[in-house]
Amino acid sequence: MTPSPTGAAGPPSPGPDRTVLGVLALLAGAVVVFGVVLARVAPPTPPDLGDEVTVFPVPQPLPEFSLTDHRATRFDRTRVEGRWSLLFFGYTYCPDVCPFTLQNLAHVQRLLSARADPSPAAPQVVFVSVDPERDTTERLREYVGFFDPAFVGVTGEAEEIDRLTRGVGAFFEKEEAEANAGYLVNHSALLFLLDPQARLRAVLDDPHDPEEFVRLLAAVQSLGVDS
Amino acid sequence: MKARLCVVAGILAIATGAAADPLEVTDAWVRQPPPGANAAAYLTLVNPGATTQRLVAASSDACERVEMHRSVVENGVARMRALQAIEVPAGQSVVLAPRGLHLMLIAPKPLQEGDRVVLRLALDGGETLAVDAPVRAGTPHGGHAKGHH
Repeated sequence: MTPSPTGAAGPPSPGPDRTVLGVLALLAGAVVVFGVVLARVAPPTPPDLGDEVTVFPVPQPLPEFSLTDHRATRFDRTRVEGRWSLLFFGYTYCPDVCPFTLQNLAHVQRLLSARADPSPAAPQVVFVSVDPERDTTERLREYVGFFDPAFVGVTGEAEEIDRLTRGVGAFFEKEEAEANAGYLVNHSALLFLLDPQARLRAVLDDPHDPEEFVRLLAAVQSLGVDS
Repeated sequence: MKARLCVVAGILAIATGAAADPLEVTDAWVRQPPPGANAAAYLTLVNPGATTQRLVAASSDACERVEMHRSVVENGVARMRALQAIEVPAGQSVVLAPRGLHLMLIAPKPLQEGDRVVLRLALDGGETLAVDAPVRAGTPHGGHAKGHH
């Protein structure tokens, strides 16, 4: 978001006196100076990546959290340090949006591994359950492995999942279930890209076009960071 | 969502009634579910008649129960709603496709690519259509399998 300087440019009133002209000239000068300063201080405007991605010019550090992965190993902030990561929030009961997205992410990973030039590095894909009641470690193991053996499935205490979702600005809410029906969970359908310093770098739409997603991903990963 | 559902070769939609089925079903397929997870079935309902038809229930021997659902992805949030009916106005068709309308197959038995699932679709007029839907491993993106025959 670049603030656009708005010039106060109403139609000139008939016969403006010198004072008004002087003030206008000063204002114009101020706008120019402000623009120059802004251009130096503000981070470089990211190239136009379209409306499928939101880049944070200043990456947002992740809070501490403690979860468990599908191999029953602790999954905390250190697990997203030193490499790029893509977080997706969902639940295994979901038959439509979650498998669709994970399948497309698996396709993205295949495209990334088939590249002649393997940089920027392919991110690790992390599926974070927003339904820890049903999504046990064992369940996640079968689930994520079905899409891509390299995918990481993560679950844990609701409180810790909250910490992570709040940390990246993801959303989820459990729906009230009717009798005898499994409950549903509304959840962010977006992908949260973390940089190797465990900071939120960008939020991307789900990869309904894997080729385009790969291009966007590389573009975001190659952007400079304003620290 | 862009209409990515392209014509898939080898789709069978067999209606139990002979000549005048109130609804025609095409492009039916079931997404192969991960082990232990629910599946989704997708298809196109075509109403060639002069009156609105309503799909009011669905079932299958391949799972415990079938629910009609609509997924909506809005402002980056995915929501799923159970539906009481799917209405197909006269002369129109309704597409059930990924990230939209779908049949949710709850607690399915293990399904492999190439298996066939029979879906029974009940209409409000009392008719039941039997639809033979192949299980597909995947949709690299959109609603169609990659390998066309």
